[in-house]
Formats: sequence, C-alpha cells, structure tokens
Amino acid sequence: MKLNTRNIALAGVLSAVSIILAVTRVGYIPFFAGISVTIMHLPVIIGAIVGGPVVGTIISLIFGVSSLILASVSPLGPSDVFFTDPWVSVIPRLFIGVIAWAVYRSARASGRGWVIGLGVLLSGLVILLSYNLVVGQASLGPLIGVVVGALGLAGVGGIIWRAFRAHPEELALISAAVAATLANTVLVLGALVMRGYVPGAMALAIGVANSPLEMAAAAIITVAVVSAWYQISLRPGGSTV
Amino acid sequence: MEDFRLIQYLTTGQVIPTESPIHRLDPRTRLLGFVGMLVIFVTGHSLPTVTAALLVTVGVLLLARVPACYAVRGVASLIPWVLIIAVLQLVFRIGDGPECVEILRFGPLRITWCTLEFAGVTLVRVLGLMLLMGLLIWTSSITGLVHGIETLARPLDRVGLPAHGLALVGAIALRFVPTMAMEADRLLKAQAARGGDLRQGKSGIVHRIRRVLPLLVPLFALALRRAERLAEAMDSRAYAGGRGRGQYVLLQMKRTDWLSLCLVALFVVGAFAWG
Repeated sequence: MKLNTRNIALAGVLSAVSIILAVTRVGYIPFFAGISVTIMHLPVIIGAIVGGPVVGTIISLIFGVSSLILASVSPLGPSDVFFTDPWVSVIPRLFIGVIAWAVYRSARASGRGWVIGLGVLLSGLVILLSYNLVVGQASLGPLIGVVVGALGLAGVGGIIWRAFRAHPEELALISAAVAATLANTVLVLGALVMRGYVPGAMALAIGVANSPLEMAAAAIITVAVVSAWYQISLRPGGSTV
Repeated sequence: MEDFRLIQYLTTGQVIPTESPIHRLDPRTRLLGFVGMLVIFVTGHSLPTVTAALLVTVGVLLLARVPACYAVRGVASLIPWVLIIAVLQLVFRIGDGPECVEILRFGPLRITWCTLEFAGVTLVRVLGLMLLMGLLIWTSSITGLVHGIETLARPLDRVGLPAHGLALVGAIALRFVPTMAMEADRLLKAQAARGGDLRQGKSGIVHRIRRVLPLLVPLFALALRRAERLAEAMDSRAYAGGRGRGQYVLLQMKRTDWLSLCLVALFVVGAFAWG
C-alpha cells in the first residue's frame, strides 16, 4: 500500500478541513432539541471520491481522533460524553471512506448506486435489530420502525433515481454521499447501543430523526463541491470568474 | 461564528508548560503510556479496575502540575449529563442479567448490582478518558507528538505500512488547520461584504443548510487546490516522505522514560489480570 504525494497532500488538507468544521462548530447545523445535522464527515466522502479509499480512510481516522480529542478537552453537549470512547468516535468512522468510494465507483459503473446504498442501510439496521433482539429487549416497535424506514428509503431512492437518470455522475455522487452518511449514522448509533450508552429504541429514534436531513445535506454539498472542483480542474489556469 | 474570528476557537487544548517530570519525558513514553491507560479504560468492565485507572490518571495529572481549574473545567460541564445518562442506564436496565442480585424493585424499575456497576463503570470511564486525554494534550506539544508517532511507527515501514506517509498526513493536517481557518474567515467576510451574511437569515433547517453552501463549496475548492499545489511542490523537490531520511531533532529515551514505561506496563498487566 503506497501513498503517493498527491494522496498525502489531499488527505492532510481535507483532514484539516474536517478538524476546522468540528472546532468552529460550522459543521453542526442546529436542528432542534440539541440534535444537530452534522457535516463533518463530508471531507471523508469528498476525499474518498477524489482520492480513493485509502485517502478516505486516513481522513476518517483523523476525523475520529479529532472528535475524540475535542469531546474530552472541550466538550459542548451531552453527546460529547459518548465520544470520549474511541469505540464510538473512531472505529465506526473508519468505514465511511471505503463505503463512499465503493458506492461511487459502482454507481458510476452501473448507475445503480442507490441499490448499494440501500443495502448498506438494511444490513446496518438488521445488525442493530438482531443485537437488540439477542440481548433480550425485543419488541415490536423497533421492528416496525425498521421496516417503515427501509420502505421509505426505497421510495426516496426510487424518486431520486428517476430524477437523475440522465445524469449518472450526479447520481453516483448522491448515492455515495447518502450511503456514507447513513453508514456513519448507523455505525455510530450501533456502537452506542453495543457499548450500552444508549438503549436501542432511543438510538433508533435519534437515527430516524437525524438521518434524512443529514443525508440530504451531505448529498447537496457533495454534488456542489465535487462538480465545482472537477469543472475548475478541467480548465487549466482556474475558473474564469 | 461571532465577529468573523474563527481562529479563536483553536486555542482550546493548548500545552500548559509547567516543566514537570511528566513534561520532560520523551513524547514516545507519554504516547505509549496514554495508549496503555486508554486500553484499560476502554476495555475495563469492573469498577475497581476502572477506578484504579482513574486514580492513577489523577495522580499523574498532579505530578504534571496541571492547574486544577483546567482539569475541572471540562469535567464539570459534563457531570450533569453523565449523571443523567447513568440514571437512564439504570432505568433501562443496561448491563442486567439473570444472575444479578436485585437491590431495588419498584414496579417496572429494577436495579441490580450489575446495572449499578455498569452505570458506575460508564461514569468513571468517561471521567477517566477526559482527564487522560487532557493529560496528553496539556503536557505534549503537537509537533512533539507527531515526532513521537513517526519514530514509533518507523519499524512498521519494513512491514509495508506507509508509516511515514501517515505521519506526514498528520503533520500536514495540523499545519493547515490555522491556514484553513483563516480561509474560512476570509470567505465569511467576503460573502458578508457581498450582502450574504451567513450568520443571519431565515431559521428552518433547509434554509440553514442552504446558507452553509456558499461557505463550504469555496472552502473545499480552496482546500483541494492547495492540496494539488502542495503535492506539486513536494514532487518538484523530490520529497518522497521520510523513508531513509535522517531527523533534525533526535528523540532519546532516558532512564526515567524506561522506568515510567515499566510502571505503566505493570499496571496494564495487573489490570487485565484483575479483570
């Protein structure tokens, strides 16, 4: 596994952006009741799309470690209690880069990236749910929630696919952003449940409340940034604006 | 985002230079000690183990002559939340099992020694991790840490992992944090000068997301452009990472370093033996 200079520079600068988004709280868009839509995983997604899975994973490692440090040294809210645990703040984030890259590549190749994104969601939710059932807190509520959520996502995915059928590049970017954001939410909430910090039903509620807007925000910003960047780099000498 | 000075947010978590014995240790010793204690805190599930680790951390903090107000400030702001979470864990019976001895039963509420221990472990673990991280940050300069990580990771190069590349990525990230913060400042001011003040506008989550775009898209574009230029500069100087390069500052382990490492190793082994 060799890191060429371009990837090193890319990973370094995008990690700096991720740290900035966390430290200056620009990355937290307040929603309500203390829950925020977070966009600090966007450098991971963009790094993975532009630089590949290794770059994405390195950025996600630095992102996770910086959220760990920030939660310990300058905590700002109740969620920072959990992020002092590296199992919650670092380990789940390591997969975001690879997922973003994989979904982007397969979506560009086949145009069906949203199917993969949905697959990620379903597997994550199945894992969460089975853990809950195995541990003995089985109830019908979360099961109905999972099924409804999966159906809703399938519907939204279908609408997006119909709208962007003619633009495979945008579709690939949206799929990658959605899948990676979903993976972030599911994996972090799953880690919270497995470490016993949050009961399964509450984690599911947080995920359902937060996820749609986070995925939408990530998709919008990713498409905007990556298409602007590719247009700029296609014209030597920078943009004409 | 008040007053366009984003860079002021970067002053938290700075080194506190008190020149204590802990400060004089090699950064590698501090890193390895940190990792050892981290492992205990993260994997420990019995109350005595985690409490002992907390006491050791507090002891080292005292040795490092860290002013109490620093240590207490972060912890104090989170204590109410940690207590609420502990209560929630008790209520939701997290960590319960059929073999646990019951203490209290009131309707659906059931508190056992297991759930009590689990909540206590979580409480102590959070406090311990916060103090431990603060200990590392307050006693080590960032460049010292990166140096230490690079030296520690050098043997990994022979196994094939790009240790120097990773250390360089960390160094670049830290070096570019103030730069990107100033770029973000400049972007906010430029947008505001054009009448698009990003701090005001309609509330409502969709509007807030849309307001963030004029800052993020240029910020990422600038970041990507800087990365490309940095890569070109590195390539034109034939800088291929640290393989085979000597170092200007040589890290040397002294007797105190080896002694401290032995103590930490003993403690970790003891903690695992205990449970």
